[in-house]
Amino acid sequence: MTCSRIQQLVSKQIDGPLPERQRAALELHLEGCQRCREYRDRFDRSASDLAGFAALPHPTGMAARSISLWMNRPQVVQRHLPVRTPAFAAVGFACLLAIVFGRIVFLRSNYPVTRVARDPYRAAVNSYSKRDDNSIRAIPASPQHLADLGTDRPPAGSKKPHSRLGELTPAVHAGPAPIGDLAYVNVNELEAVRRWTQIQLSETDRIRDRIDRLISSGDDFVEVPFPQIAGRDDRATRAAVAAYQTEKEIVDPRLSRKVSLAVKGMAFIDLCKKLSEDSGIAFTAGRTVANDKVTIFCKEKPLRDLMRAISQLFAFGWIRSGDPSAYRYELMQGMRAQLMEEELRNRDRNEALLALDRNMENLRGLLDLSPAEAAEKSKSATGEEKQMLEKLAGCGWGAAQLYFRLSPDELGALRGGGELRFGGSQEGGRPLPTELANGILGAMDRIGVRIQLNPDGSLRAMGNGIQEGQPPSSTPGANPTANLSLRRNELGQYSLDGSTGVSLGGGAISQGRDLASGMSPSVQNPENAKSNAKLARDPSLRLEANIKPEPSCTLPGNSWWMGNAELGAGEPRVTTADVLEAIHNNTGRDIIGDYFTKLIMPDRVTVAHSSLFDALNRISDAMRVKWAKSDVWLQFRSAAFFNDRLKEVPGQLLTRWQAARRLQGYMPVDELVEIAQLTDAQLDSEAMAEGARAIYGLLEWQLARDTFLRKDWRFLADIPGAVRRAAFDAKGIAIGRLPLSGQERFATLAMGGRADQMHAEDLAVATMRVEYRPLDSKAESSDSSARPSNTSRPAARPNVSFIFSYGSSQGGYWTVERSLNRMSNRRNDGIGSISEEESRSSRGGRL
Amino acid sequence: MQQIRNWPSIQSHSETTAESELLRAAKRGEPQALRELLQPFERDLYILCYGILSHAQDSEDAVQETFLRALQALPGFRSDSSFRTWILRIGTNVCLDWKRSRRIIPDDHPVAGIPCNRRDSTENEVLNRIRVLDALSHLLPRHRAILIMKEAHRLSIPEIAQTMRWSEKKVHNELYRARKSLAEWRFREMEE
Repeated sequence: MTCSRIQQLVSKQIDGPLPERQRAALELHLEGCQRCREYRDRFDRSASDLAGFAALPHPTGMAARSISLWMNRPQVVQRHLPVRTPAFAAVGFACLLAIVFGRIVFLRSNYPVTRVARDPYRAAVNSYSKRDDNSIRAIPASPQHLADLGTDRPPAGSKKPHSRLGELTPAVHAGPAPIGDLAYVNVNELEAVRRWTQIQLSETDRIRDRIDRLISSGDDFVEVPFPQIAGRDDRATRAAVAAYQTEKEIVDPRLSRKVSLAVKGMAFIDLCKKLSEDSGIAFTAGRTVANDKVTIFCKEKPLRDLMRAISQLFAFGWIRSGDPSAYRYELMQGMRAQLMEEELRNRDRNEALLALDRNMENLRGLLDLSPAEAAEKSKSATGEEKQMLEKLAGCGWGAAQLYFRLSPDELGALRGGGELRFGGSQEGGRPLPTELANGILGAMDRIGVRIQLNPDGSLRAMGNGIQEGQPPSSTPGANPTANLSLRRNELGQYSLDGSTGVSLGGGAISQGRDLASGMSPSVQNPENAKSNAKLARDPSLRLEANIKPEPSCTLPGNSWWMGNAELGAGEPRVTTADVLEAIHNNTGRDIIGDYFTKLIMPDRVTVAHSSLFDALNRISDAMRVKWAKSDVWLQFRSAAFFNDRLKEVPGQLLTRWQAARRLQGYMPVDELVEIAQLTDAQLDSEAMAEGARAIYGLLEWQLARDTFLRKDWRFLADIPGAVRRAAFDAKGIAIGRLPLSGQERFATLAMGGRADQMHAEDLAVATMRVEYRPLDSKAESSDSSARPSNTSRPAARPNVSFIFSYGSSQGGYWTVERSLNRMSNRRNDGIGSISEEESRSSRGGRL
Repeated sequence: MQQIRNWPSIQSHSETTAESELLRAAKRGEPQALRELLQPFERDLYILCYGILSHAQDSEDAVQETFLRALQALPGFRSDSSFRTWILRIGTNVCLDWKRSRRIIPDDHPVAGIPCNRRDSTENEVLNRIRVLDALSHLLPRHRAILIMKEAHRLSIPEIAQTMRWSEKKVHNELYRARKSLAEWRFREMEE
């Protein structure tokens, strides 16, 4: 027998016993043939290797998904023609023959045949099957995906966001997945990053990516850091790869424990603590996510399902560490996810700026008009054109003209948040073109600015409605000014403010208005009905829903800093968590959502006798959140989560300040100092401020967030505690005892742009005092619901004053005082006194 | 036509009464029966598709398409073969079609060639699986299919023959060719 024949027999023997003669011949040959023995060993080895495939972990739910897809396919109505008579049957048979014959002729004619699938479902499957891999994998990223990180996602490790067939149908709950925990609970961070950014992957990432593609087992919902590889040694690389694979394959059986949760706006640090207590497994939240808040309502859910839902919604990852018998899990946001959020923020901001620029372009065609011509034309114009002409007829004319003459550097400075000043009389003012200068003065004439003579012989500019005095354009020495600034109302929402004015002698007057605004996509309507259209026919969402959230807070009765009643004072408000709770109570569905402080009128999120699908769309649009359905979860994510995350104040701080306020009966000054140290984004947020007052009763929040006083508060905060207390004494803090950096900051706060004019002798006697007048709790009850909502009873107005004193015998002694609504600059040696009221309208806030 | 109308009466000896009931219910389109009928084959199909396609996500998709084709063809299933071999045949055809009609993206595994000393550890199990995948990728798709059926699914030669619609002799020959290709690839690997 030849070796080839023997090897054939070896193969056959693996599949079953050989006849005796063949077996004997085989054994005889093998005894004397080394090569055939090697083949036999190889064959055996292959058999055992391939047998290991039987243990290959597999994804579940494929059958369920296919059945769901099959059941939901468009139905083709089949009509059967009854055969009533032999003649009819004969005619039918003849027709059939004709059709068959015609078909054969047609097929043989070599014409290209385009088959039209009668069943749209089959058409979809056919066309899908014919696509090549590239066309399938190249799923384009779109802004629509911004909040889709938490929507239906395949287990991590799968390189495509959706199973291709799964894209055709809503996901079907496939029960607890037996695949690895890490794969199950974590979304693929790489995939998420790739969807939004064009970040080059390092070689390590490439290796990890390839391995992840191969491994479908293990707790792959948990992020496993790839081992550090030093150098390019193959052995080290292989060892690192092997270690990574081992880690990825692990399944922690403890994660099958079930938990029930009903938490509203709970920080992850607290949630992890609760999960640890309930399950005995160590969970922690890393610093990157510890203060993010989540709302969860679920019953008897396996921990791994919950972990996966969190990972899906937030694009956070679970890191596993510790011994195999007691793994610890830490929730964190990886650098890639952080970069992705940054990218989303930038995109959102850029979209807003582009929208603003488009709005400004509408003004371009009207720039040839003078302010007077624009005013004349606006009388006969209507609608949007009228509004634009009115802008150009007044103080907007000069600013609009300037906008279109800005250099790229100036535009960059504007986008960077700087204020562009024009007019030589202003500090740091850029030169103003002559033709614009005249136009601005003419506009000042038109809006009623007049120049009057002071008793001491100096001139002053007066505002609207003054009849006496002469127009600026005919006053020698009147200098026109114009300013441009980009105002960020809320993050992602921009307005271009333009002001023009006139300065004369020591005084100046200006008037401003917003020229255009740009709304970022994130603050626009999320249009849930559109983005969830594919779920419209989901039977589980067609059930009737009656959603009526229970209000958890009321708006405070009086906005003391405004001196009037707040709109809707005493009215109840609901949070997004209240709404999600109502949905859960009504539907029994498992719910997970992010939480950002946002108060909503209950009427806007109350739905009766509507399908759940419609109710979710309406409610989510009202809350500016996007909803999605993933497995059994209903997920809710703020449409602007990447901006909202920056605004939200940690719950632990709010609770602590609330407790301190309750203890004292008013907000202690140390707490106000702490509040003022929050980020600008947190303090600028109107929603956060409203929530702090209504939910936590921090009625003095405005004192600390006021943009006018913010720098003063922060200066105070940077002074060590023991010295800081002296600020509240009659003598105040002796600035000369502060370090040099402190003295410099004092000079800037006291003198603004002229800080360099402050001398050492001025600082020697300089002091800083703070006068804090707390809110009278008796006058302003935090429980305003007890009082009728239409009452605008005056309440005690708290205030804080920062008093900066400095000076010398040569330059005189000066006192600068800044408080909530007022700033004064006084000379104390009797030579003179200047006091001015700051206009607050252009300084943000609600005014 | 007559046979189709009377299909319940034509049952193979391998089909138990329970299976028959299940099939009947499934043909009526009862979701629960369909699920009970198809779900047990998720693993077999996935392993088969993974063995042929060497790509986890593609395999998942292929399994779904197999189920869809099976659902469409179910009314025509006459039970003259076992349901298992029938659905494996569909799965094989789906994968072979994919291999033929679509550009194959090679998976260059960075771990190829890692020696496997401790067969009993999970770590080496995984590494070995990757190595085997590499080896399989050098075989013809039909060889991959029958090797998986034989070694992983433990199908008998007649069952493989039924699935592939080959003669038993051809199955033996193809298995031999597949094993030899695999062995030769390994010899080459060792030499390198």
